[in-house]
Amino acid sequence: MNSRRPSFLGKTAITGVGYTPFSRDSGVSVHALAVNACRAAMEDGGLKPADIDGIVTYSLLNDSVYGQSVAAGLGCQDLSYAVDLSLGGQAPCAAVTMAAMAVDAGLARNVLVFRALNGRSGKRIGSTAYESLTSEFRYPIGFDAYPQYIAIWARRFMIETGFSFSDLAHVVSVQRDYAALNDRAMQRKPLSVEDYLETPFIVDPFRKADCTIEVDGACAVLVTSLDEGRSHAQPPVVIQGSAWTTPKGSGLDHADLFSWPDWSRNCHDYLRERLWASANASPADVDFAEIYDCFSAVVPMTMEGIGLCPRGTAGDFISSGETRLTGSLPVNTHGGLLCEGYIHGMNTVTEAVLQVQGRGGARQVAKHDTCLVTSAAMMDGSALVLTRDKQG
Amino acid sequence: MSETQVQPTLDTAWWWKALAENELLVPTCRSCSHRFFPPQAFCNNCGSQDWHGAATSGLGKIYSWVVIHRAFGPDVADEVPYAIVAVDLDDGGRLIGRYFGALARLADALPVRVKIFHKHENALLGFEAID
Repeated sequence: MNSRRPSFLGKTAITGVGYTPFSRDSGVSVHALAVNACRAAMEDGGLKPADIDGIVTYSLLNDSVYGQSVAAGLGCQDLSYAVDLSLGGQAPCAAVTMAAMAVDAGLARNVLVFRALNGRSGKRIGSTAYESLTSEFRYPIGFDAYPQYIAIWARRFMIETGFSFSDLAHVVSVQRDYAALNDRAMQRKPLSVEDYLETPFIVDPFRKADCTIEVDGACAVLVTSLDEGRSHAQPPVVIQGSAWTTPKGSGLDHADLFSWPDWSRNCHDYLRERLWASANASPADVDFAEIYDCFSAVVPMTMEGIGLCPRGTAGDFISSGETRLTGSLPVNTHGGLLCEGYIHGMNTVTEAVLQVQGRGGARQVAKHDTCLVTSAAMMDGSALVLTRDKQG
Repeated sequence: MSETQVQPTLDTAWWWKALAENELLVPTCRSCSHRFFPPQAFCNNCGSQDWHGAATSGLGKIYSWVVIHRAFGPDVADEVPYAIVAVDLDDGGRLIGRYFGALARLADALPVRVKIFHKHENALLGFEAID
């Protein structure tokens, strides 16, 4: 267990942010998406290819390209740090952490972190069958896709906490309203609670609107030291807190639910203490939160687990409007993965950075000094606390 | 991979063999008494390799469930709607299986018993509601 504050925290930062367009059929290779998003992040930070000496990325089932290929596409001179992770939605905050650690350790100065995929026209992770240590106990009985795995946890969460279908509807409805303010979002149509409840189940307790939208696209951030970041073209967003957890009971693979003792809680119950201690902060300090939401129910489970609201209260909190732009704690200001699209949570990080920098446009939150970002839905994952540079 | 055929591994073949012989066994640790699933080389509570496949009454209660209305795999397209249940066995261990019974009866703590069923010549794990 880690009781000391990790050395890179408070001394490293994110500056540039880059995106490709999001679509259902990009018509270009994943390599092209990756390079374009990384180039956009690099240029947003005011840097040139020769300034980039590190790349961190993650992928699942070979659905992306190695950082090496992005270095080639950008025309980088010589990477001194390169990491290719085989992880899903647990990765984004951890990938930023690896970049920041490398910067703090002196292994690299400017590190790009990206996720790129043709997630709609290419390999669709949500329903692709893949062999793992537990797949033989799931697929043959017809328990065979991510919406089902998260839904069976959501059911237990609803049983134990009283979180209702109406509360689920509010999670979706609130995020749809944010998405209406986000040109990038794939789903921008408002959805009232009443209309949501009229739609059919896909995997009871989930309807289509409870599920993220698989898309083609990429996004990236530029990580550097706080000192160096102050000379970049965008204000540095300070990496103030960071934590990862793989708790006992995480099991054998990404979909081993069997060993997890309490399905009404995800790993944020375990991340909580470590994260806030690392940041020298508490949930009360958070102005807004960007929460990994491959499925709607992950939002309240995470909010309660990480300590943003007490157990059993996220439903009332969300349904009473507190997570709206006008509420006390805006959540998922881009519309979340539910509406913006599934870049496996990397776009949750990029939205957080834009908001802290004050670049949220029509959906800019009023107070943006401290942000929580999460990258986890089930047994393991990561989270960050990002803050505005006080010197900025 | 095949989505329909069970492909046992070196850690799991014994369990599937027993199931095919109509017997459900639950890996049970001799060091810490923990019952775990799926079958694996080490007790996932204490790491011991000293465990055995224990018999069970096959009785348990539903811990959670989903009802699948839209099939993902092609193999279940004509079976929707169907339910998958997580069951806490009365004598220990949490298993996941196909549900046999009226969907309207699905509820927290509903009593069920093991029902081994067959598909594509595989013996598979299921649970049926008890009257």
